[in-house]
Amino acid sequence: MSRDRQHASSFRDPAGFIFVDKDTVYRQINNQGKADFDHFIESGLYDVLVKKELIVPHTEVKKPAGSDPDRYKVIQPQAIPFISYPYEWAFSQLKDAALLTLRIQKLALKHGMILKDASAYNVQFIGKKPIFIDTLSFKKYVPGEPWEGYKQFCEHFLAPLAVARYTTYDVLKILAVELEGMPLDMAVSLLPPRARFGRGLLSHLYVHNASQKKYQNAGAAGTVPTKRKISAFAMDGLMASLQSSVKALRAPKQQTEWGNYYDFTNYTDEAFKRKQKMVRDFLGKVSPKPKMVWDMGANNGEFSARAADLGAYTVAFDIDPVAVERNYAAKDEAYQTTMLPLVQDCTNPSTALGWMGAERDSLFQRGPADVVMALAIIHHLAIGRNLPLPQVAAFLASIGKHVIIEFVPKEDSKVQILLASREDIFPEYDIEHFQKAMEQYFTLTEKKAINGTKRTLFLYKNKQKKA
Amino acid sequence: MHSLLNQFGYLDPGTGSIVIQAVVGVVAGVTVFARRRITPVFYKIRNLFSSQKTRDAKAGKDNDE
Repeated sequence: MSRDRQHASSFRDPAGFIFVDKDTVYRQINNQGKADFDHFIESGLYDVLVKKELIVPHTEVKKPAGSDPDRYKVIQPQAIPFISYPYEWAFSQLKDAALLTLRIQKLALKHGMILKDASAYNVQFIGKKPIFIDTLSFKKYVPGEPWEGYKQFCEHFLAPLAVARYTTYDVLKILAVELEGMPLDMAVSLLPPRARFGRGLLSHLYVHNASQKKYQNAGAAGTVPTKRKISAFAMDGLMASLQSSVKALRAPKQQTEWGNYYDFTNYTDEAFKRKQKMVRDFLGKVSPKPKMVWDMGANNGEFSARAADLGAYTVAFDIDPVAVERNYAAKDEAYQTTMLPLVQDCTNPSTALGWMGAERDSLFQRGPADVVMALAIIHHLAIGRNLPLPQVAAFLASIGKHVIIEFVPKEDSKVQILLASREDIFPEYDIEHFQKAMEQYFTLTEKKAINGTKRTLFLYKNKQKKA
Repeated sequence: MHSLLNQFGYLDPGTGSIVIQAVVGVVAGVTVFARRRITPVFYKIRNLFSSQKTRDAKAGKDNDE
């Protein structure tokens, strides 16, 4: 029965739940959610949202298996190629998710509906496009009723974005600990005084926080307001205000542009082009043709694009949120739905989180990828982070069926920089030891020196994880 | 408290958040409404000093029906 395969993160809403059957995601709509769901469809709201590509389209499952007295319908939503979480997003991804939520809310209100919640987890990305996935988040709107999702919107979106904007963009990592969003009192205590002048922040964060504090112990002391109405006019005003507040939060300035990228590498233009071609060739040699590629340390997605060119869905991971931001902001139409930039530290990858430690999947659980690309990263792991090569090999073997990896030897100027201010305690960091470590888990498919550099490109096939 | 929320009460909206919405919403609504009235006038004045190019660039807006 569907309830046996209910997803570990989908249990709070009595209107329905997500379950997985044979690797396919379904959504069961319970009788409790029938009225709202029917209105969602009949009002035309669903069609509008699908037409504008704001929500995942779904098909109805004609004959759902088993019996369930609570069940009304089962739908199959369009699959998301790679699930990601708000704490893995760069600033602008969270910002666009917020704006998407508000845009959907405005359309919903026009159709007599309102969002039940405003969780950042209602949004996923297909490539660089945010898309709403919670088809059951809509309920009938009765003008006069307040918005239940206002608090959640401020904590999931506005507060973390504002704190990131006014302090440091790295602060978004906090969302991996604060799964319910950044509490407003935390946001207010982190924000510098000038944030009070940020558009809308005084109302939605500071005054909002004060109001929360005042009624925290409501019932115990003083009166609790029993009737709170908010007119449709005020509701529209609230949405417009939230939208302009989010829009006003500036993304981090991108330090280096595409053109300047070359200045920071030790490649000549010629060697760089050669590496591009080699990566493309190696990707072409992977059989069967890869559908999912993870690029570790992708920076601005320069090489991830080579995988996307060949038709693979490519996740471009980088530890630097500004690099991810740069990748996301690139308006190259070719990769809008095939390249997903995400923040990730491979020496501390996302772990399973939430209730029962099972609501949000670890990075490992979302793999393995058909191909993992590890270009210009091995020296950062082995030398920068003191990771023994056999362990790096083991890590790669746990996430990829094939690996394209660039070995960067000690003679390379970048490694010289890493070793400049420390003792060289890495007698076993060389290409022979590297190959020996990899061959514990992989068989060698291709090996080619990158002419014009001291580096070598390898293509390995996982012995254990078969395609 | 329950009477003003839907029968599901799926999400804890927070009393303080409900209370403040009405105030913030009205103020924001008035501001937005006023801004919508004043902005075209403001742009007309500003456009006297700017080139057509900048005018076109600023013209792009969100259009949901």
